[in-house]
Amino acid sequence: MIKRLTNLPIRQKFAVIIIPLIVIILAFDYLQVRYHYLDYSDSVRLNKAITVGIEINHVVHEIQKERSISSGFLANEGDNFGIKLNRQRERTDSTLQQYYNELSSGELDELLTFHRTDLDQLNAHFDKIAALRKSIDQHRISSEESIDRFSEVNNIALNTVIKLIDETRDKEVAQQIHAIIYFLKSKEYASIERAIGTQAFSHNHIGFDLYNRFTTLVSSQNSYLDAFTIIANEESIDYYNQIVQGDEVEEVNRMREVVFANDTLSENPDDWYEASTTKINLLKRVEDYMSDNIQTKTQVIAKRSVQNFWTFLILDITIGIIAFWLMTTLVTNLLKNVKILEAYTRRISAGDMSKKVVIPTKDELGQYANTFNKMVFEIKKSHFELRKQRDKAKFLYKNIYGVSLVVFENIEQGIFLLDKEFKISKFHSKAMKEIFNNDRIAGENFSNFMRPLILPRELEALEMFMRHLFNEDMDEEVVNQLNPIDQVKIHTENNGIVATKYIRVDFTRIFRKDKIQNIMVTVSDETESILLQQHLSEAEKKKQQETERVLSILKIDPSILRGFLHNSRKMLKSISEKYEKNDKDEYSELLSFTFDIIHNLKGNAVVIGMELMANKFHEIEDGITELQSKDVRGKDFLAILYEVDEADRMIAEIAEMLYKIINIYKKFPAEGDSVSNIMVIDSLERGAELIAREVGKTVNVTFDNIENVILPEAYINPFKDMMIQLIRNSIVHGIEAPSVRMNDKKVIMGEILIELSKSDEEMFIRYKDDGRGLDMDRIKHMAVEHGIVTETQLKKMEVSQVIDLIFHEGFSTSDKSDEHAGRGQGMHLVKSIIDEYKGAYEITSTPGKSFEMTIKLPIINTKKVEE
Amino acid sequence: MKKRLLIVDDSSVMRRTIEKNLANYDMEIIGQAANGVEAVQMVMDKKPDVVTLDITMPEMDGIACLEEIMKINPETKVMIITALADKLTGLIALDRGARGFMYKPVNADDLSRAFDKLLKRDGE
Repeated sequence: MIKRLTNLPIRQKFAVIIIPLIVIILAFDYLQVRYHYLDYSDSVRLNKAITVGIEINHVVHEIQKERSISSGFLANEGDNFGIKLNRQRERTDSTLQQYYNELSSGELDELLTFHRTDLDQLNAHFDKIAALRKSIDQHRISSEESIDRFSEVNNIALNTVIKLIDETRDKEVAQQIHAIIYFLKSKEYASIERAIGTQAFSHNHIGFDLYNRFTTLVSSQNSYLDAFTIIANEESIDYYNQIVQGDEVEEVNRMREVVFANDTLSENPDDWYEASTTKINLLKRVEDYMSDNIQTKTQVIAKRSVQNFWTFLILDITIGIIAFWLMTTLVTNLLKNVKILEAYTRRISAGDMSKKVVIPTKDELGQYANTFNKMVFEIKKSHFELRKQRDKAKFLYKNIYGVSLVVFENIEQGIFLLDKEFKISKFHSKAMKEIFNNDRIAGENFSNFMRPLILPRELEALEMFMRHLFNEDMDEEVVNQLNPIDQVKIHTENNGIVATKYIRVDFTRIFRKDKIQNIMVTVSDETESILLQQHLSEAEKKKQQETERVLSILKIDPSILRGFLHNSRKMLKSISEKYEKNDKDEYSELLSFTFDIIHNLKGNAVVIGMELMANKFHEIEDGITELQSKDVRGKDFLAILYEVDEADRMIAEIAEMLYKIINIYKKFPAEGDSVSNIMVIDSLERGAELIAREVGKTVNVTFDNIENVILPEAYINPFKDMMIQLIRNSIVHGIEAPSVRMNDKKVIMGEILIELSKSDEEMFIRYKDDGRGLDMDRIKHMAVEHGIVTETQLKKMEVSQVIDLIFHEGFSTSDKSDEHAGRGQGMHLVKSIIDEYKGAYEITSTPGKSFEMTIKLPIINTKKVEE
Repeated sequence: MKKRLLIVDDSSVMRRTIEKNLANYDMEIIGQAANGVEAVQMVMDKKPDVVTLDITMPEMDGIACLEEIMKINPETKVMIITALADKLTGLIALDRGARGFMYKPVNADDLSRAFDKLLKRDGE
């Protein structure tokens, strides 16, 4: 109940307080109004009642007189009182008429309604007076009986008066009314006394009963007068004392004493009557005085009541209006302010803080409004701060996180974080997918992720490496030196196509609060740059090959070269012809046929110094040897045919080059042999430089006296062939690596000296390098290895004989063959040329210092005839 | 107090190179060993603070030697100096307790930088 009350809206709370208050006030007002009204109506009614009462008292007064006269008339047998009686009857009737007139005046409706029964009863008794008079006239009743009959009427009349007036709420009025009542009763008894006295004096005698009655009347009279004097106000008593006195009053008292003495009543009854009547009239005067008084008083009261009523009403309404106005003003104002606050708080809760709340009053609500405004200001301030922070955060998000994402989308490197379980972070750069051709990256364990891509040993190292990376005791730089996949070759598969990639993976520790939180991993695809590098070195190699081709052409006698080229093409063609004719799938036979041809061609190439082609044929040979060891199929042979075709193409290119060179020769015919010399020197120099670069050494070739010795044309090519072989051998075997030369306190650049001289019949070629000389032990070892000599033979050999082993066909000191040295054809070629021209040679080798060879050739003039 | 260093390498040239390159570094070289067995003996006898250790050595290789050194004194700071390109072996060395790692050839700058790192670990 209390809770329901406290939960009510303020307006209803006010109602709960104010409505009972208003009801109480209205009830109080009603009571007040009613009280005043009752006072008023009481007074008005009393006033009217008194008016009626006075009329009745007039009638009673006349009846009292008639009663006495009638009593006297009956007692005197109608002699003395006959005339008086008639006059009195007229007076009685006149007052009666006046009474009836008053009743029908129309102003007594309320009174008549209220006292209908009493008045009807009274009127019925008044009506009986006529019958009573008749009985008196005919002397049908006794004097006593008439007194009783009249007294009965008067009794009723007095009672009626008492009933009429005995209803007032004013204490003082009520008291005075009672005083009047007592007075009236006393007067009635005085009147009866007069009647009995009149009768007694008329008979000159009083009977026992009558005597008793007379004395009782006097004592009753006195009792009522006593009561009157007790309750009547001083004014009335003074008036009574002032009026009821004099001779007549004394006379009444004297005649009373006569009756009390109960002697012969000789007094004149008229005297008694007159005296009594005078006294009674005096009493009547007092009665009228009092009646008038009370009537005036009731009128005053009625007037005062009306006055009070209106005064109260006006005051009440005025105060009521003022109170109601004050109340409504205050409550309305209060409610209005509460409403403003409510609306304001609603607006704030809806987020609108643009306006201030305005409450003009200075009461608590006004203070609340101020507090509210301050609060809202503070809220707005912190709101603004918050918004600033939020904007800042947004900005940061957009500009850092957003940029990071953009970077992650666009960067060509794979970037991600590893956690301590080696798990790949949720976010990684988009490039990861492209590099690894894999969609399942986020959340994967990095070593599982790499497992199919790298070698098991690399994987083992990677796991150990990552563990060390997360170990804070380990220096990051130290660990990073051991990154096993800083450059690694991976094979990725995409739709069945396997791609080889070279990737670089870098690891960086990410710290948070001095603890290693993650490892940032960056992956770069370096395939392109590595392939480019390979491509570049291939291109370089190709360029060298081309130079080599030109060189090899230059050092070979054009006629021999042309013969070689012609022969080679014919033989290579025979391979493809044989292949085309091969319908029995006899590949092993085809293979052996091919091998023989290629081997033969390689021999030719080697013999004429066509290293490039020799090398090519060597490669084909290797391919065939590999195939021979397994079951040969058609498609395997295709690879060989492809190689053969390429060799054919190379030969065609060389032929074309040769054709061009021959054209040049034809356009610019040689003016002398010195030109040939220069060309030879030039080609040898370039050849030496080429070979030296190939093996990472530096060498300087010096020609001595060559300007003085013009090579006979026939010797140009043999000379060139021999020199190129010697130069190659020197650079590959003789001249040491720069580091070795430095250690041995030699000039880093190797020195080769070629000196020409001639006599009339002979020509001398001196060739010398400053290399390590011939390694005799190795020569011996390799000669045995190649099966050129046996150990036993070797032991019997002289030094010069051992040296000669290097000219043996197939001798090589290299473990593996390459195009520069190794198949052991070089020195053999030199010796075969010397032998061909019936020359001689001599070799001097100083270990660690030099190698020297002197070649002696007879001068010949015979020109070789071109083919 | 100066840190005391033991140099372990089977190549005398290498040992001399390390010694020379550390001439200006604030460290006392207390000995040189040419193989693992010798090295272990010297660690036991001389209790060096720091050891430079080659991996490929006759008698007892670097890894085995490292394990022995750690058994004798786990506080010993071991710096691997190797020409061996195999990274797994290097990582195993870190696993076994080595705290420094360098590739040969070495120079004075690299060496002093590596030693700074190695020794700063304890905040000394």
